[in-house]
Amino acid sequence: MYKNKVFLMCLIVMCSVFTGCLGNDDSSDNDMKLNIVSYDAFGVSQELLDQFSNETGIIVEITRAGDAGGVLSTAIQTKGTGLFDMSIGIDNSYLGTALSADIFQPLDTERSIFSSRALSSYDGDLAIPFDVGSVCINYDSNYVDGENVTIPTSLWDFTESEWDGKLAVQNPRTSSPGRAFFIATVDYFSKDDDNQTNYEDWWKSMRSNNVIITDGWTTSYESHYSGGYGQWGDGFIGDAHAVVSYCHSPGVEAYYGDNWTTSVALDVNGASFSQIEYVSFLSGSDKSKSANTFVDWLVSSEINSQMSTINWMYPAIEGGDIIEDSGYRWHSLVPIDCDIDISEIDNKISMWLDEWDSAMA
Amino acid sequence: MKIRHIIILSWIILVIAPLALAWNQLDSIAERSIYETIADFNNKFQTKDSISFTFIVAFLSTIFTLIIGLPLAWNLGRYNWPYHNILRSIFTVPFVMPSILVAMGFLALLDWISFLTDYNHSTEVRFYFLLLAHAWFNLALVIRFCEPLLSTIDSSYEEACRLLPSGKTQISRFRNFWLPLMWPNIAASSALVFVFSFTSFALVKFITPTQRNLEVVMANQSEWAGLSVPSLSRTPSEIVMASSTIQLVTIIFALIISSWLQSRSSGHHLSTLNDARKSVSFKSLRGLYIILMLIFIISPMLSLISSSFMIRENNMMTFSLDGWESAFGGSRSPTNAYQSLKTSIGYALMTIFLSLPIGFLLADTIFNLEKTNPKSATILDVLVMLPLALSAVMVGLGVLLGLMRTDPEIARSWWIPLYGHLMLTTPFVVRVLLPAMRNLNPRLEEAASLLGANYLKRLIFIRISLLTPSIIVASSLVFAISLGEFGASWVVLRFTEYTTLPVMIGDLLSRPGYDPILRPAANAAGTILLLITLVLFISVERFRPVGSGGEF
Repeated sequence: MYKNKVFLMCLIVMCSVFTGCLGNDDSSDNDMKLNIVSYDAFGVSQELLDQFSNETGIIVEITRAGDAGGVLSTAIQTKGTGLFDMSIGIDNSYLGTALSADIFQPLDTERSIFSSRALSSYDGDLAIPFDVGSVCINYDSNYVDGENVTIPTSLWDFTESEWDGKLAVQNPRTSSPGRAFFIATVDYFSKDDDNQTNYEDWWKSMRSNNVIITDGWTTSYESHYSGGYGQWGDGFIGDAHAVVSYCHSPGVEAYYGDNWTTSVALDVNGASFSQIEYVSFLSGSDKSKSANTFVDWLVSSEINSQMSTINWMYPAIEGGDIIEDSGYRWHSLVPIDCDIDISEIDNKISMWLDEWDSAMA
Repeated sequence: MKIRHIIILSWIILVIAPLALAWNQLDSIAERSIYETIADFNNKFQTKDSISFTFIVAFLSTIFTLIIGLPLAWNLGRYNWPYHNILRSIFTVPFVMPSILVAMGFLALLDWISFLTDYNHSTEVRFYFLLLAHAWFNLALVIRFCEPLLSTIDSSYEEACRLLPSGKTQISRFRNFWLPLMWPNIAASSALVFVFSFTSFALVKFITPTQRNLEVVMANQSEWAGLSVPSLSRTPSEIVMASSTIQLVTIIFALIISSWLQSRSSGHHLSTLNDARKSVSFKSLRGLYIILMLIFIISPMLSLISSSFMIRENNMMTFSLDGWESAFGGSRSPTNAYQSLKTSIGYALMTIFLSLPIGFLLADTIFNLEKTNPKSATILDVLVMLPLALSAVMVGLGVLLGLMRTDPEIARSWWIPLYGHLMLTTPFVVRVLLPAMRNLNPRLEEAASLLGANYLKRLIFIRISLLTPSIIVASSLVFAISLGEFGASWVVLRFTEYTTLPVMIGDLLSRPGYDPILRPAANAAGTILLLITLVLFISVERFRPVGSGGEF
């Protein structure tokens, strides 16, 4: 019994000591601290952020909120509260909604430093592009050998029997690349030669052809896709020989695979979506100076030119490109993307997604 | 008003308020009624087959867990094994493992099996693995509910049974003696296994990613549900409302059954204070069975540990310590394993500090009500268990809305994540302390009262003194569950400064795994969590006397 009491006493003492590990560190000046909401996969390391803090005296605190949609919904939920000063990762598929929701304040960033691709969806001062990349279908060249299985030249080819149950895509309601590809299909089938069919018909055909739909990119790429790094990881199924990913994903595979990969980005005009990711200053915050300093740092030549290894995307600045090491650039594709206005996306996405839900049930 | 009443009232507000806030917000956006949404479930991709999948998985997982768990509970309850306490800890530790780690462990195991058998597993195989993972995870519930009772039933009763015509064979003894004695405990544990399998999230999400149960459906809609942009949030809000209604009604029903059965389980008088177990060695057929079960429990853990040392290099897997270096160095995450562990321990200790007194008072109230007003006791018991039935999405949304309406800056407070920890652990404090209170001899307190001891003296010198072993067991359980808490922390805003170890693991897993160090680093952080929990459980098991517990 005595031992038990000693144990309980120790517990109480430890509670008092360890709770000191928690609690706010209020030593820093509040104006010199930026609270940023970003998506989970934002790759700028703590080391780089610390470097920024040392140079400017501004402390950056990142809060993760899922994917691009999560960042937008958090920004809308906390609109005007000042809880967050900036958002990172809202992309052009969500930008129309964000602009309609009036959650941003203007930034002073010089627009002439950006590539035309980075400004193609929006060139105003409420959302500043920091990286770009196209979302398209990647295929495994072990399966698509050009003899037994030919390289698809149209999205309709994926409705053929040789692709039965072999394409993995993401749920457009729960995944950013999934949403980007879905928007590309809406545009692709509205502009193809066939006026009798639209995106709904293609998706219905894909459902009949047992397309694999996962809620996130990680599952479809890591678990299902036979041509990616997932084949060396836990829980690999490998039943899909094509997957929706980025057109430079094969390049990243090669970069880590010593210039070797069987993954190839499919080059079909208009069947890809140029995803542009933005950094924004949120309404409700009064830290305009710090926010501008951070954006200037993020789009500076020194940092932005490293985007291909920091965040696995193309730089947004003029002349920026992904690096050439280990075949990274050689295995990456810059396709001709679909061309769709962000206001059209904002106006119609809800209806499109409802139709997709019904078509795929 | 007594402190007891204030705490009970606060608990009810803490449980109900976020739910009410979330419900009110969703209701203001939804256009269709819950019935209309449910009727349309199978016509929409996001919800198709989710109701049937949830019930099938929960039902089959419960059956599977009982098939595996009951023989194990029997062998642990009726026989005394060498290193019994360690064995008991290992068999029950899976329950407090973070579900994200269990999923990683089972996926790693699946990979080893594929490698050894040269058989590439399919989606169907994954479904059975999900059931197996649920059984692995919930085994402790069957053991904890059945083993204490089995270990205190004097073997003379069974011997007397043998002499009767209806107890001659093993089967007839099981049917006429053991089953009537055990069924309230079996049924109560089944109800809880059903609840946990019904609300399973991480295991379903990772092991069967192409199928959705209601919890995954709700998590998928969480981004937009309740948002003040009706064009985007109408459908998600309707789906979350309908899904949470089905979930809440089903689980409250299961919890009422469980609570009612547990209050019945204290009705027999065959238990002795003596250890009724027979000693047995591992060198027997029974021993072989225990060893096989041990392998079943340990193999996902070993797979996880081994995966932390394997790294992809030049397109092949090689042994490396890079994952461990990255986990401790923090090169791939906002915080390193030291900082995250320190935060986790801080939260876990704070949770003990809060949930023990709250749980004690709640258990004490239920115990007193059982004697005077059994119906109220059942209602309070269900209210205590309710947080386990609430979807993390509803709780997360409710907390966020509540905070936004009061003071957004509070959302940044270090104590906000404690809410989730408290909701998740307090029910278990009650589950440990309530049966222990039922086992106390009431005459001791009556005698002390006659001798002039007031309530406080009786509480400190009799109640708490006698309950100390159970309080220590409850503390370890709270500590372990809090240490591994993932869901609630993940749903509520994740501020880097309060990153716990499970959130750090989630963070590493949510990034594209091109970088070969990311996954081994997550596995290394998971291994740290696993080993701490295991050591804690083994060291505390000796405080649990034979036959004590009765519930958890």
